[in-house]
Amino acid sequence: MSETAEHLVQQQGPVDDNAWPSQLVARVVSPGEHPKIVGYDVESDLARHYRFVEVLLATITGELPSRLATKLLDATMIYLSPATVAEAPSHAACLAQICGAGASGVLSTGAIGLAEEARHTIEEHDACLSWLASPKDCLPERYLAASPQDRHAVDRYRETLAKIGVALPILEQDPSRTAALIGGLFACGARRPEQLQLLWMMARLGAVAGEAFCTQPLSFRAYPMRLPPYRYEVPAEVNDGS
Amino acid sequence: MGHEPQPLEALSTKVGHAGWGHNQHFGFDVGSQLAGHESLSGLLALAVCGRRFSAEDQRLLDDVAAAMTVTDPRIWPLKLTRLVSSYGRCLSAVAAVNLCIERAAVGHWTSGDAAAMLLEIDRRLRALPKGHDQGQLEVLLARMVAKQGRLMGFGVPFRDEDERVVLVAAAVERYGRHEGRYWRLLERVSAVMQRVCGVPPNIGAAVGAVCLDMGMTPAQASRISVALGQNVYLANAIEGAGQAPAVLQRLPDDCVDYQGKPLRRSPRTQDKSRR
Repeated sequence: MSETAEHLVQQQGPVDDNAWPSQLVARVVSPGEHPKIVGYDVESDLARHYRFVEVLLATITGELPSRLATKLLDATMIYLSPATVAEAPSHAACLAQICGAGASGVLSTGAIGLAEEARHTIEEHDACLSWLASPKDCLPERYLAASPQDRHAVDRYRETLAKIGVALPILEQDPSRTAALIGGLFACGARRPEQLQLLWMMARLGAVAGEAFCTQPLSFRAYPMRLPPYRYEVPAEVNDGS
Repeated sequence: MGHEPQPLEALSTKVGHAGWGHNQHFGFDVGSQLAGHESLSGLLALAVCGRRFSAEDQRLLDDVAAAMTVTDPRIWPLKLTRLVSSYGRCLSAVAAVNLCIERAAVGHWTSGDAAAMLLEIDRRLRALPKGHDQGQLEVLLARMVAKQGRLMGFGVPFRDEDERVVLVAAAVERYGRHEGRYWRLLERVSAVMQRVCGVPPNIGAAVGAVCLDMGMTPAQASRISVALGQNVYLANAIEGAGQAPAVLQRLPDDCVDYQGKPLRRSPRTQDKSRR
């Protein structure tokens, strides 16, 4: 059989011989010359009358937020945005830059780190989300402010929201800064964990990328290799497989 | 210069240390104890479990890896590697598929879920009076299926049996591991599931049983399974990056069926037109 003929052999297998749909299904963005997001024309409607955070929220909730919710979302995402280099996503993105990863490697690293940070944080706040959905009793103790600094940060958030005319019930519970900000996102309509994780990531990606891009590529000698220190421990019983 | 920070408590690691001219890994000297002595599957098992496996274990893991080699780019996680690699780079695609399969319902990670299921069945059987019969196993499995909807490690989509299980079973037989506690349990459970529910075991259950018989935990079974499956992802990512096909970067619009909200005017556009 010639090489060309070999290529033309009809293959058979589960993918070949079963029936499958012929199209992908879209439920948020309709493609085409005039793209729409959740039914709204992007170019002639959303771009003219809405801010980016409003469109972002609409993509995950299906509905555009009110003006008040927009102000709350904007303020809350700004409060969430300072991801410092001391935090793992930004630290990891800086290491990617030091390694000479290039922009996509740095962004991917930062985004993965942020996705993990967001998952971990939202999972830790599962009972806080339950409280937000049905705020009957006191906020569970583990979501309360743990230090004066934490409490002062929430005070500043409360003052910011007061200036835009928003009062959140969770802020009366002496919450931690993180619980208060999750409460802010929740009040904007992001109720499900995956919606909260996305907003968390989007709020912080700019700072993570910015910090990394300001780091000198290949600056290996400038990186604090022993921060924090590691202590190598030889396992007590080394199993050699015999 | 910033101020000198307070000293931090050291983190411990058993994984490794880079020394002058020699490197340590889990207590082994790389140059004298691992290089020239350890296979790739042995190194992967060492990374996952922190201990060395026998040469025969390593050969069985090699055979498991070969048996799991299903590389058709149309299969869901592999299609994902093709999409991400379509912009010309392969490792981001490998990273993406690894992210996708951790705790996913399909793919190599499920070996650990199946191993956990086998451990659970074993625990429940041991709670029964000695000399329990096949009928009691049937009742137990029926209860588990009724409660969970399915048994992890069972069910083979679109075909009557999982050809990979046949290959792993042959390897298990070849190395005389068919008398292993969990392999035997898998055979018993498979017989009941096949007869009562018509559901055969899949590769997850087979690899899960092999790993348990090697002394691994379910979490280790998931991780070694993923590690052994990297050839599948690499092959797709490398070919995909080499092709970088425009059609995968963006399919034609008519390949998409929009089923979302119909065209509507936003509240602010409506307000503006009312004024």
